[in-house]
Amino acid sequence: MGWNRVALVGAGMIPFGELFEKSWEVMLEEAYLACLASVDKGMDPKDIQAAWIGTARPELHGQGAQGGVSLVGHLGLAGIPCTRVENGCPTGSDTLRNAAFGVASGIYDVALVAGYEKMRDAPTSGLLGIAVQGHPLLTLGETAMTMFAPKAIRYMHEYGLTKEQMAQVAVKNRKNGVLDPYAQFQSEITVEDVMKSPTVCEPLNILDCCPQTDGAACLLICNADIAEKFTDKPVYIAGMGCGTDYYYQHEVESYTSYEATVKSAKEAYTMAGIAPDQLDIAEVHDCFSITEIIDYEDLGFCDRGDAKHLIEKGVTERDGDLPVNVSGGLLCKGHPLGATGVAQCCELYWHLREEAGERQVEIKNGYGLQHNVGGRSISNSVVIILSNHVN
Amino acid sequence: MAVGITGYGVYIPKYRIDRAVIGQAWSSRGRGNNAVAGPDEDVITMAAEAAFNAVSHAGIDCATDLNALYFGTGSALDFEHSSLGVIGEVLRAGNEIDYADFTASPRASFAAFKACQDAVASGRIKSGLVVGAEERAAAAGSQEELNCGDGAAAFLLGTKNVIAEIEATYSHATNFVDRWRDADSPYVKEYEPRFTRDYGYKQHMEAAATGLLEKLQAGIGDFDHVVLQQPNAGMVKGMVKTLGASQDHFSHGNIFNSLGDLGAASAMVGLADILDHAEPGQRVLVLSYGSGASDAVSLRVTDAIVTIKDRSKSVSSYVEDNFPVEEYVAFARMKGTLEKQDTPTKIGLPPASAALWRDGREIRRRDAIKCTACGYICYPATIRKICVRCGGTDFDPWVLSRNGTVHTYCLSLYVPPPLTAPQALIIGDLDDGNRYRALGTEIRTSDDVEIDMPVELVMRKIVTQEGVAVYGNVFRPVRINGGSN
Repeated sequence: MGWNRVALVGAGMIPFGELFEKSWEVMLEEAYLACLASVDKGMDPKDIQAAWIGTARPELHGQGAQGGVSLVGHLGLAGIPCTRVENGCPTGSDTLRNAAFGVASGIYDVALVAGYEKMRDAPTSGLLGIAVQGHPLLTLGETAMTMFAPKAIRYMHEYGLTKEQMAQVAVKNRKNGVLDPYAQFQSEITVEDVMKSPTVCEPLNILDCCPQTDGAACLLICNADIAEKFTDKPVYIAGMGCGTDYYYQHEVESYTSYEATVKSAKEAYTMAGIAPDQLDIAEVHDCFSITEIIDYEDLGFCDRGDAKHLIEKGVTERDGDLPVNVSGGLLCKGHPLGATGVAQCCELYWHLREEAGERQVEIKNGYGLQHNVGGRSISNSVVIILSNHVN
Repeated sequence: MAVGITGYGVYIPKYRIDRAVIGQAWSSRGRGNNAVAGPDEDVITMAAEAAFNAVSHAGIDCATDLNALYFGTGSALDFEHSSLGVIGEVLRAGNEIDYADFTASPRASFAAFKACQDAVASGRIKSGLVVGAEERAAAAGSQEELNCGDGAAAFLLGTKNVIAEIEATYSHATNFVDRWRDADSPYVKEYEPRFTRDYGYKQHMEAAATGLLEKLQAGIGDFDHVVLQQPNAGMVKGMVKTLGASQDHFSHGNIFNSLGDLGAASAMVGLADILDHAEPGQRVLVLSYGSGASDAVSLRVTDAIVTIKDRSKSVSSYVEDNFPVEEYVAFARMKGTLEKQDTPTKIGLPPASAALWRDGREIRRRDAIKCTACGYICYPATIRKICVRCGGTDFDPWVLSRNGTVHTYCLSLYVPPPLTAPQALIIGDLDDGNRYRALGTEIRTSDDVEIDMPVELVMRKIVTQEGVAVYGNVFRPVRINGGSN
């Protein structure tokens, strides 16, 4: 493929949480400064030629018309080109994907990727309303839960998944998050805790659901040819994919999979030239426990219906064959929409550079996978595969 | 050619409140039950389903054979806008139809009945539908709250395949104020119940009955069935005595005890129950009353009733199929006398907006288009010029099936107001192979819903914003099997 290889040379984020004391500008500024400081050999901000910012629901904090200047205008970078990306839950990862196009094309050598979401400036009831898109007569009553829960019901019906098995995903990710200082929750839970927690939307209990979170994360990317100017340990984009399914829920065919994920994963694996068994780590979309279960199958980690065996056998635990959501995932680290995908890539960056500290996973093949799925009818997905070598 | 009833149907909401439960809340006494409209129901949705049952009973194609829809209610929703067009959409009626609202009295439905009869008799229309429906707002602790029920009935009038001929009508009306509802309040007020009973209800109905019997040169003994407006048990009992009627006259059609005072639908639902059981040749006397006016109607049942009566969803089947509302608080929430203090989330489009006008009709009519290239059914038709599956641009018309089964669902306990939890959402597989997503109704817990369960699409009020109701299709677990619908 005729594209300039893209390297990640800096990654920074702020601890996710209910950050009532931080404005969205401050969240972005802190993530950017952390990212800039993480560049091994340093980077002069003047080297940054272009920027991309991802935010999915700025309406929540009263800023419906966020554009590119909303990023660079606050970072002392006014003047350079900047574009806002919005693509539902994959907003953050798609921001990286679009910035990577800018570098891969040869137009820019160095670019900034930023994602943020300020979700807690709105009350919970405000969040409930924002899922409504499309024609109200065809979508009224939908919330994030009502777009995921029907898949859980159908999946459980077809494959015999139990609520206890589903709960094990939340238990695993909460356990992982205890080792991640960026995670919103810092405590473990049990299957019993999940089962006894209040039902939010049958069959999902509150501990099957990710929290509402404020957060920001940044990456610095550059043409791989000049990466050594910034670091001796760059991480590379090996493959990227973006897929869509149908717009309305009545048009969606499968209620046991996310076809958008299947498509984005296929594109990313093909571009990287690897198979799922070559992954050392994966950060996948687990907005609800059921989502991670279905992700395993959509991403090719196992056959259809076998996801429950993966979770039961501990394959996706931090010390398993394919550690998934070592950061704590969305269920524990939090899911500030625009920041989520960028933060997942921060996590992969640290692991592929073997600097993740206590939670470091074993790097054998040097590949890590990032995945998001969401948007209307859960029909948008992005998958990015990173590597510690030029593949 | 004699004008008469060619088909009929009723609709009774699923929920019931025991009057003793209301009585407990206010230290008053009550016996029997009232039918209670669900939170997504109003007179329009109830009228639509009764109308649907009536035209299904008659077996007519509303696109060509329904010329009028006359609606009578004391619970009018709006003084400027009529929602009858929504009922026309559910029936898939043509646009040449004559819509008219009759209101300001529980007797409005019989005013509509007579107007429709005259329109058919004059030859101006061939077939018209008369619908009576009521959903009174009743103040907490009021006599109306104790007695009022919700429901609807519809009668298709025409001259072909008549099952009950209209022999004669007679009206008696004076300027009499008994109950009223002023523009500033949703609640019915009353001066003095015994004044209403003796000088309103009794005198007017007696005069109308006497006038009709004289006109027909008949006595009460010439009738097999009598059905009255039924505002409460005591008034009905007194009227039976006044008319000199016998218990045999009231073998059917007594609905107050099980459903409550149905207002404009009261005598109509009672009449429907009589027709459910009537034999050819029998005569029926109907006496309506409201606001100082009474209409008496005499009907003669024809042989045709034998051939088609089993096709109707009967009144007794609706009476039997119910969910009891166990607590007064739940009842008060359903009636709107107890409202949660929160700010309702606004839907993306104002109810009176161009977008809802543009697409609402097709969505409620279930108008779809079938791609001639790949066969996929795109829905709704108005927003699809390109097949979402294959990109084709050539289509044939298609109407989505009304029935299906649950493919999957969820039951949400946190929903944006004004929706109330628990709120089911259903992804259904329709009988014609298409898929449909809709809110679920009459699903209280996860015990009320499961995969593969039969469901039917019905029209309900899905939100009210800026005082305008927005109607859409929702899935309901199939109610009353074995009907024609």
